[in-house]
Amino acid sequence: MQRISSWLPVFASVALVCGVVMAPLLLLLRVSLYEPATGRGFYTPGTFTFANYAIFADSHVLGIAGFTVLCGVAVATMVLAIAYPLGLFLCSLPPRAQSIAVGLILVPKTAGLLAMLFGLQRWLPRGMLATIIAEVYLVLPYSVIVIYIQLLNLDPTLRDAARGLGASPWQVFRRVTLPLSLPGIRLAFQFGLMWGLGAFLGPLFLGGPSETTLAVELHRQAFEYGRWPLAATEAVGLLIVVSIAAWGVPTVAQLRKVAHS
Amino acid sequence: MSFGYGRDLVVNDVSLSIPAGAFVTILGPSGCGKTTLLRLLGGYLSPARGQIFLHGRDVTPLPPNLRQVGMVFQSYALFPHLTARQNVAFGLEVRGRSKTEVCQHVDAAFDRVGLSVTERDRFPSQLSGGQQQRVALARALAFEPPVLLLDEPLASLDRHLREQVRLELCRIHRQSGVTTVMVTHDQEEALASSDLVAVMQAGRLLQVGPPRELYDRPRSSFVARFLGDANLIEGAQLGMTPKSLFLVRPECVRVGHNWPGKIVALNFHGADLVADVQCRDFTLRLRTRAIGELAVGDKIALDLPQEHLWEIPAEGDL
Amino acid sequence: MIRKWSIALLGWGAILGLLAPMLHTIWVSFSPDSFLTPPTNVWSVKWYLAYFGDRRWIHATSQSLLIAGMAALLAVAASAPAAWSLGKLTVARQRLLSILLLLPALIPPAALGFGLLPLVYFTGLWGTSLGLVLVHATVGLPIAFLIIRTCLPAKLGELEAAAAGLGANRWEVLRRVTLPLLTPVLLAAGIAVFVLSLNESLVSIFLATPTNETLPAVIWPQLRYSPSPMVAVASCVTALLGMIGMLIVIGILGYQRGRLIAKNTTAINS
Repeated sequence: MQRISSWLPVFASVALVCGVVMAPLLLLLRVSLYEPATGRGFYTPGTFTFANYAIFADSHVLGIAGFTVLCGVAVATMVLAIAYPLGLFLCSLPPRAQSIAVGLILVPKTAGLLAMLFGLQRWLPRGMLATIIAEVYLVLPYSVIVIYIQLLNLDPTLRDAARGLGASPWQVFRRVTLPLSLPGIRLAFQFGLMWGLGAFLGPLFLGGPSETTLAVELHRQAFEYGRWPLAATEAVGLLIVVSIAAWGVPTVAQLRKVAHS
Repeated sequence: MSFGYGRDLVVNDVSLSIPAGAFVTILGPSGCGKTTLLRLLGGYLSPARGQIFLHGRDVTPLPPNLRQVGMVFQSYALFPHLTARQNVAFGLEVRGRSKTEVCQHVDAAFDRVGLSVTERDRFPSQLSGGQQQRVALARALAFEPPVLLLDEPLASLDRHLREQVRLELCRIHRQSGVTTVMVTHDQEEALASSDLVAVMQAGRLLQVGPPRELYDRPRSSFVARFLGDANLIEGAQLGMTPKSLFLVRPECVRVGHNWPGKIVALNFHGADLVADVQCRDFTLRLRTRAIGELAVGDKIALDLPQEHLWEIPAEGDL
Repeated sequence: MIRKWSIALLGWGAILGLLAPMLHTIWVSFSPDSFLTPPTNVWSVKWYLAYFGDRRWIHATSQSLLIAGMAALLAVAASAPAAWSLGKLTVARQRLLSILLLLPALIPPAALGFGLLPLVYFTGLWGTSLGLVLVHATVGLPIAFLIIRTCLPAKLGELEAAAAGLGANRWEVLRRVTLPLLTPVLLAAGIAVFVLSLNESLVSIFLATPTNETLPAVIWPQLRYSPSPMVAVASCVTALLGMIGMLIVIGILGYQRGRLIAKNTTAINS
């Protein structure tokens, strides 16, 4: 009885995630093991094969995977390069201006996503640069928030203490603010990488034929060619790449250890 | 050192000069502006009006890093990503001192505050509150500033550690000769450790002087009450000048025969016994070594020795 | 002084740069003709009139609002108890639950959208609003969970214990203490999910059918293949609805934060 009542509050949310996230992922795995359809339908029921995974040996798909990784790394790096100074700037503002600025940063991504894409489409000719810029626009707001919250939680007396001990503003930043905000930097980079790898809207609306990511490719396979097993295989590949990014970014403690040795 | 200043009336028109090498305590109730005053001295806030002099030099426009003032924050503000040693080395490293010099000064500072060798390479999170405080103190002293500021240094320690650390602070002050300004709301702490005590209330400095002078000859009823138990009696009730106010400390009240009364409350404190005695239309507090068996309701007569009666000057608008 | 101004210029400039594409779209939506150049001399609301006269757009708008509303309710109802009970779990389970509930935001949306396709198909939710509500609620779950978890009153557990100690039973504690304290936060979380749901393109792209198509589902094919001022208008209507919601969220959270800061400053001063 005790058991049940302690799990009751989390039941609904866990059920939603299991039903709407976990189940589709498992289903993807299964669909990726069907043989592609021979006549009508999207796949051949009752079959089981690993043959679909051979597409990752194909140079076309490999090129797409390569661009996906490139896009992820480029987006994460650019986002970090903009988000960190912007986070510092936010923290330097008076409280009321901070709220306004945070709101303005979040508006295009949360409220005006479609309007933002429409505007970007008007300005930028389709291509690699446009794709990456669009993805930066899509990822940046959340990364800024992550870094902003980390910086906001820094105890301001630590900076005072450093000043009092004789550190110049630059030394305070270099020796106190930066090292203490490393966890936020890491988290922002990790999220940027994961979202950049999953880039879909950017390449779809602003990329040309050569700016195809795995996400766009699987959409095309599923909807233009109706080849679900291949689309599912590409989706599984994308998930694997994103998981590697999720686990692969070293923690701050690990980075420190490397820096010390 | 002197300054005058006004900012939202948090610190209002304060002027104070501190002799080099003295241990000065700024004492006041919470919210009286004493921490603000300390932050002004350290350069973390800048005064709207007035100046701050250090050894005859005007340091008012200087930012904290150019002021040569060591500060121990109430929360200690130790850098969590640095070990105790790195924390203490910080002030020397940012000044670009050589490695060997840094090492020497750091160890000297640790020796001075008495932090054992095994604890010097730990991170602040691995140290107890008392040890963290020693690190904070060592850090503030390591670069040998002429002035040390302490913001409620004993507030977050438990009771018996507090007394011990207070004694150490006094010892460190004696040995290093650094001018020390401490902020506290605890009058016992202030009286016990300082050369000079400055009492603040509502952003104003009420009285500055040696602890004994403040305790025995306060210039206002606020100071009289804030520095310990006080019997404040109007002159009229003692048969003297009607508008005057007299202070007599409870430990100066004697058992005698001039003021008969009835005991209304009794508190045993170990070293002494505190009795509230209702005499005619005022209550007198008596602090004494327990003599005889007293009980609430007993009749007792008291004396107020002339030499212990202190007339508080007319308070004007305070 | 010059340095200070140039930093401010750079910072606000960057924020303006983030807003610029959206502002451009708003500008284009007032175009008097069917070109995609922003109007300079003649501004017109004719595309807005056309928008509100078109049954397909109206249907999509109301469908979007309906689904967003239901999704917001569901997401808050599901995440609030989880965020509330988080503190009562062991540290390992807290981590597990947090990761699990953030998962919908971390999974590449295209993979999720495509994975949902066969699932929705098999479970008979194809073409129903219920399917979209479930999906939108799940996609909004992480943000609702994060907002509620961050803004949970600090001493909620103690307050609840105090109420129980005064003789309130579980239900009364919930009704008289927990819910009143949480109401503004729940409202903010709900509106945040609502706003996100209005713009939720990815899942709509994969799951929309003509009977239940939401605004983004109508907009995106046109955006990709035949952009027109009409699409700009539709995007702007979505953005406007979203911004109203955002303002409310910021108002509520700003108020909460203001109280938080006020609390902290009094704590520091004393």
